[in-house]
Amino acid sequence: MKLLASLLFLLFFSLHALLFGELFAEHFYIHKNLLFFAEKALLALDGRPPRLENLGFVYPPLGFVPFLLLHEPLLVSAVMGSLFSLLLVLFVLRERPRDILPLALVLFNPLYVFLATQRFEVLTFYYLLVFSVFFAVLHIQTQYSLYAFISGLLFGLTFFADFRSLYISPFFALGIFLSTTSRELSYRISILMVKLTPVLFFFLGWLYLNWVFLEDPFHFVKSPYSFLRSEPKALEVVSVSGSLWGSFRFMLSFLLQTLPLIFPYLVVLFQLRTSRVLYSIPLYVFYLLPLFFYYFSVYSSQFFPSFYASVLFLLFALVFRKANVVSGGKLFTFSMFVSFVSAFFLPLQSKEVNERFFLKSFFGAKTDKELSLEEDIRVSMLIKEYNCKKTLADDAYSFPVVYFSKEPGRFVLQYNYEFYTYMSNPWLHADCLLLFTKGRGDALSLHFRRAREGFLQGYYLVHQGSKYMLYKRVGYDPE
Amino acid sequence: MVSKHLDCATIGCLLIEKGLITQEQLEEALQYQKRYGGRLGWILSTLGYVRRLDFFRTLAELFNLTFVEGVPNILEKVDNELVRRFDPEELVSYEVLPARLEGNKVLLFTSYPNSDKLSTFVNKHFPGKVVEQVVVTDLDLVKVLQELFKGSFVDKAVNGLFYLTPEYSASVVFSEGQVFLMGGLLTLGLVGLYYEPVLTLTLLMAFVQVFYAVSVGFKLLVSVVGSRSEMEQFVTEEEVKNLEEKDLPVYTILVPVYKEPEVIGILIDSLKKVDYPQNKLDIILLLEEDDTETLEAAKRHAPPTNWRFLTIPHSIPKTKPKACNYGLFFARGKYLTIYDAEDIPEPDQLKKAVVAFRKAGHEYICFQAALNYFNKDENFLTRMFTLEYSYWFDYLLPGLFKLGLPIPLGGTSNHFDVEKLREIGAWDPFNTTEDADLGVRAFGRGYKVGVINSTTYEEANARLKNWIRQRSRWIKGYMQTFLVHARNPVKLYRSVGLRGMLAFYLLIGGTPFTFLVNPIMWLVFLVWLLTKTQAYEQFFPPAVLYMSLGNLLLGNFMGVYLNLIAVFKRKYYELLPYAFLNPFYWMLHSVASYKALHELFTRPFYWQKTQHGITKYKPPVVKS
Repeated sequence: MKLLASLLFLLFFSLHALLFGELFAEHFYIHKNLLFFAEKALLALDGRPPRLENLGFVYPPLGFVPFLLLHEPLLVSAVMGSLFSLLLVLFVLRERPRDILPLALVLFNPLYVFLATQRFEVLTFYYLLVFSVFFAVLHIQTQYSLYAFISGLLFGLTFFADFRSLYISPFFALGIFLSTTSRELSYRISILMVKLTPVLFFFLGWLYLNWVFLEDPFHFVKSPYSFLRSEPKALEVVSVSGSLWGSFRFMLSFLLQTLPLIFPYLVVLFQLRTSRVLYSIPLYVFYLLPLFFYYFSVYSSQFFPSFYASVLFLLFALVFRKANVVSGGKLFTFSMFVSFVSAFFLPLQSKEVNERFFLKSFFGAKTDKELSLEEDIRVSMLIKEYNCKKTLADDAYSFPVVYFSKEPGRFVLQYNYEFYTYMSNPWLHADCLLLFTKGRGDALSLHFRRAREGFLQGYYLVHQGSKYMLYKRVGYDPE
Repeated sequence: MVSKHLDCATIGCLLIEKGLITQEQLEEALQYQKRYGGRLGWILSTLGYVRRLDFFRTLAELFNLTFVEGVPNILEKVDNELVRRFDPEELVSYEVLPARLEGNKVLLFTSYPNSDKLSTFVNKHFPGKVVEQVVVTDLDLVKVLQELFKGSFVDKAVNGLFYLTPEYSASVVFSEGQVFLMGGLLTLGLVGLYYEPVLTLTLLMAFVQVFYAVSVGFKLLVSVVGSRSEMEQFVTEEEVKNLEEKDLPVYTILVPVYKEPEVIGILIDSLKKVDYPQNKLDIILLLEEDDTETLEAAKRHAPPTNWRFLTIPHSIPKTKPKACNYGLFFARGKYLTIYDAEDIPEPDQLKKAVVAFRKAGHEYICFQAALNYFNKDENFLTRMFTLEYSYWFDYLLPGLFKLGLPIPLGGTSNHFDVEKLREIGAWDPFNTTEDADLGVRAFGRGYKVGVINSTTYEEANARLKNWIRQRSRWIKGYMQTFLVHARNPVKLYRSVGLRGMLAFYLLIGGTPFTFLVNPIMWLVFLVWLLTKTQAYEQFFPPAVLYMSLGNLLLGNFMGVYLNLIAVFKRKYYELLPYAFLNPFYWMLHSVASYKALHELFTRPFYWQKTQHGITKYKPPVVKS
């Protein structure tokens, strides 16, 4: 078994690494989130000074953890993606080897592969949620406290993968409470406490860290760079956010759009019916958690209609099928096949540029200039070529450059205490200035308005591209 | 030999003829014998139908032998020189005392006349001699042996382990190597603090944080594995039911007590209800010489004949393990367990232990039953104590068992294979947690320790001072155990392997270490929280800082969370909110740890006595 697991891991690792490497070599493509995590981890380890607050505390921390150990996006993605895939294989095949085909249709579903290779943090959240629910169901079935313990812990960890998991905590609690209706009240409250303590504890812990390091416990919510504001805004979501009915209608239309992708989820939903009502009701509550999750994300305007969201539904379908031993294998496999095939085509129309490009790259698409990191890499090399020792930059936008330079000590960034001193009089302190000029631009391009036109007193322009402008100081060298 | 009462060839008949028992009692005893096996007279005696003295006197009459009563009467007939040629433990096991050898004639005092084991003894030591048997009561025989071999028994009870394996004895607190090592580390630390204070403190901090992280991970792993014990039971009810009761061996129960007259009755009552043939129970109450009040209290409860009271002669150290070693000399059982005076074991515990020994294999030396408390709801302390024990015995120990790691035994309800226990030198009387030491030593000697799914209910310490005294003794014992087994790390590694060694360091060494270091780390944190000083930054490079924060949040969380789970197996749901108060309980542990550390240097073998019988709660009634 260990040998098989090792071989499978190697297989997945090779496939994921190959795909990742191919996209980078051919299209200079890496998902920005990976570079964001990588840069923050780099600052946390090698920044000057290296501090935990360099991570920012605005993003759920689980995304950073692998980077603290493995550093390279390729390595992190391939390792994490492979581990998740291996976990799913071992989990499903252990008791339901006949589900190998549906399993393969999930593992090779392009949207799943996209997440496994480019958005491991999203996949982390999905896995934590689906397994926390799986163990909650096992707890209903067996009453063993081990399952309550694991379920609670995994659900707690979802907060560290996606802050929005708090939205579904009440429903998770409801599922737990309904699952124990036949027991005494003290037991029901105890189980509730066991399963909700981790998420509450982690939430309070996060408030505490924000308070201690950033003096505002809700910094991670209020910050303009907050994870909760990180998804691009879709007009149709913004227009319905704050409205219960509007959000519901939007959700419904989104589900209809993705119907072929989430077909297996619906199949299992109808197969879940059991004769035991007390058992079925909490089961449905748990099974509907993805819907609640997306619904409240829409309501709070923290949702972008991406097709990869369907992977959560697929994982729920696969895992619930195992947990409840539902019948109808052929229909389920057929639905997985439908989902698999449609995953090659539906996302080609996606509004989410990354998944759209990822899918298009399967069909030989050209490099997407918007997504290409070619300029970021070139600028990072220029900084070294021009021997910039103190480059003033706003890494809210130029984090890819900081990451590719691999030398955070060359930069003076917003987390540095001296950042605003440098900005008020850059010529005295910074030998280079990096401006992100695309769109509204970064803090520096807003501050040095003429710099966008190519003029910055005491500096000369050494690079101007579609995203960046790099200035080098004239003559004066403080050292 | 033939009875004088020619019409009575059995002891039952003779006892009826003498009017000592009724026909109904005899019938009942015969039924009992049919079901459980054993000697009829002994059964009648243990059922309380006939007095010990009457039983042995009648036994003598049955075989036409002389009966002598009272220690002085026996001693005056004993040739000391002859007796001293024998190993006292052998005499105890054969229930015989060779009193006099004159020519071809040998005089033997015995409490088991005409038995096979007596014949074996005679053939071994007096082949071809004419044997004259004199019947004495089993108690008189033991008392005479105690009188004759007092020095030998005491010496062996105190120094037996040292004579056998001096390297395992805690009589030397620190070995020479350890003194040098500690001195070296201290010097290195001081030199480091003088020349490289930042580096030294950073390394210290890093060491502590790595230790915390590994320790939490280890406990999590063990607990998760241990929690599977809810799903499977090592000994099932079915297996207990299917036990052939006739084949049950004699089981010794040692009850070491000291000044506990108020609780001894609890144990006597609960042991009467134990689901085990009474005639196969060998219960030994171990009393200290100066503890007459407990002896009197025990007598007042009129325990049956299978109870024996042994008085331990005064000697230093005056500890429970020494008393147990002393009792072990007189144990008749194939298996043995220890109960404290206030213990209430579940009735089927002994049978479960027998099943466990039979199904687990020859490498098992001991099975530990779970301990828990009957007065859990008394106050904050008892609630926390119950939570702690529920976690320890229901989750941690089963986890260690399943992972094949050394198990630190609990103070009572550990069931031993007597032969193996004697082989490894039994308890270390210099160690104040002799049970934990024994578990580790047994593991090191290649034996395994298991866990059985049965519980003994005890009285939780309800008073703070008393709790601190007890806990400081336990922690001091952990320190002693650590020092003993860490004397030779290479040997430890060879005997318990890498996993066992890591578990030993984390559990036995780690427990006192954690409680000693905690207050320092809390202080460091508190100062930082209040002052936000940047002076710490130099001691906390990123890796150390992240680990510290991880330990602060996740480590503490895990400590609390594992305790939350502990309530489920026993359905102690009302205790669940108290798990959140664990940090306060840990503070008490730290207080006890510093007391223990102080005592390790000043009074290493001093036994902080735990006072029992102070609870206001009545012990639960055990169903027989």
